[in-house]
Amino acid sequence: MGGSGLVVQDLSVGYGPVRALRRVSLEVPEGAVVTVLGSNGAGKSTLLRAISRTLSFHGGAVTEGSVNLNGRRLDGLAPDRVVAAGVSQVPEGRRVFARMTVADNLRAGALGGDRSGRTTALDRVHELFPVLAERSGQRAGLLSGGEQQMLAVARALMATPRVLLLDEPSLGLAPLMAERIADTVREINAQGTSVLLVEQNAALALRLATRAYVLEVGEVTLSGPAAELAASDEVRRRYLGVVDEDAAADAEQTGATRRTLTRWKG
Amino acid sequence: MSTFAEILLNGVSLGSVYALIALGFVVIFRATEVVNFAHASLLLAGGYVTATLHDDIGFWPALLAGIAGAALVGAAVEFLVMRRYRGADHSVLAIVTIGVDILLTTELTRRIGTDVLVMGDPWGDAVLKLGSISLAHTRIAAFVAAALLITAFLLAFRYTSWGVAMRAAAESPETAALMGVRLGRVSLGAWAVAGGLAAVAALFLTVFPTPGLERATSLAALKAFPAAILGGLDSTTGALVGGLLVGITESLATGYQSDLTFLGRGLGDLAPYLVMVAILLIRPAGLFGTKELARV
Repeated sequence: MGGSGLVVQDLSVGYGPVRALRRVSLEVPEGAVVTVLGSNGAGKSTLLRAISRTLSFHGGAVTEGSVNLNGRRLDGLAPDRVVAAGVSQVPEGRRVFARMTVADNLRAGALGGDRSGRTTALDRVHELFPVLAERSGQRAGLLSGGEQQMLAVARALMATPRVLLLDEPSLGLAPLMAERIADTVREINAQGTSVLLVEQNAALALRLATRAYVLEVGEVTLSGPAAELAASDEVRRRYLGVVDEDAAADAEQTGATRRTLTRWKG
Repeated sequence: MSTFAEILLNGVSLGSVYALIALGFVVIFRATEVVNFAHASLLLAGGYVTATLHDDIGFWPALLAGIAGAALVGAAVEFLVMRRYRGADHSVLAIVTIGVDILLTTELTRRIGTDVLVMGDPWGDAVLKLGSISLAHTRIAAFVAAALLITAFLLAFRYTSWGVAMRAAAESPETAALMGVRLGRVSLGAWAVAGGLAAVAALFLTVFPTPGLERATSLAALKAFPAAILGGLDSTTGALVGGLLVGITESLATGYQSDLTFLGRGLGDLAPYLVMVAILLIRPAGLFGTKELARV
């Protein structure tokens, strides 16, 4: 079958001589929410750029490995073909087109999808984010941070993707707004779109996802069902900020050897 | 008084032609962030095609051929030259366009030689008299054509998918690529459109009262540079205002030259640059070239 959904296999990425990812493999099964955790510089954004084929804007390139969507190879395609294949990315820091109106931002998002689905897609995002319908004539740069994040997500949804890549959607948002974005991600997923969520806010991400990967200096160091990872000492200590003396001591001992949870067969 | 009105109307007409050129310049800058110094040679190429073909196929087909020719030259420059340098620094690309300009202009001046090519336009030297004001038909045609083209362009820029893709790419190329915008196509389109607009401008720069297309026509086209720059390089509104400002200034300076003899001759050619320097001293980013959210 070659795996359904988005499959990343042995992906290595370099920025010139700097290796940013080393043989990273992960899967986003059809209809799932999968999260990638990691600190700054772990390679999370690089991973998304490699999938959306925008590494070249940063002087990076895939050196080995492959990215497949439902058996179709995405690596080697131009960014617009990736969008057309059904993978849309919400970039880190929102990146709305500040000088364009909300409506034009949404139109820009629809450029990569097929024309026929445009009105349905617009209805759908207006239903998800009624505030965008109210502000459609306003310049996007004048929206609040939370509204801009909604617009960024809505814009990516305009291409009616099968897989949505989210890069740090809670970054710089008030906790309440982050919670709203999380609810939306849940709803988008319930409507049938798979989600690959990259987050520093591990607590939020682990609640949303069914499966999680931990990325450290370019390598996957832990992976497993999200609930299992949320309960694991190392993740609790490092990403959830739970200070537990025993766990810390435990991790200290096992820290040298790399731990991997068993593969999830669900 | 009537001289003043006449000079002013001529200035507006001339300015609208400069605006056409400046608009193409701004379109390329917005789509690719490259300052296109080869713009004058695109204009010369369009004019040359029209001038050489009108005898055989008639004026209107020749004009269309000129527009298509200049658009094609623009697209070819993008495809064959600029695209090879993608990812290079924008200032490097600007210097590459100077090289392209030298190549194109050299070839065109070789073909034109010392000739003055007539455009074969239907307006000739007819003059419209309104009371004491007399206005050449060519000037009226220039204004009408420029106004129509600019309106069509601005509408397309605002309402079509092409316009949305163009504005998205101008604001952030990477994000636009994430949305599925084909950046290569956007920049190809920009160069082609700029070439087409320049070809129309070439026609109106070389008809009555100008004798025709000659080697020096590309110098006249250079006056669109101060127009684009004083308007703010990345603003379409700025290109229009800048074009009009340069046209009117030039017209006034030429018209009242006899009263200004203490400044010597040829003030009309100099005036656009003086205006540009004066405006940039007060507003370094040009009239509309600020990054404020309030700008269109």
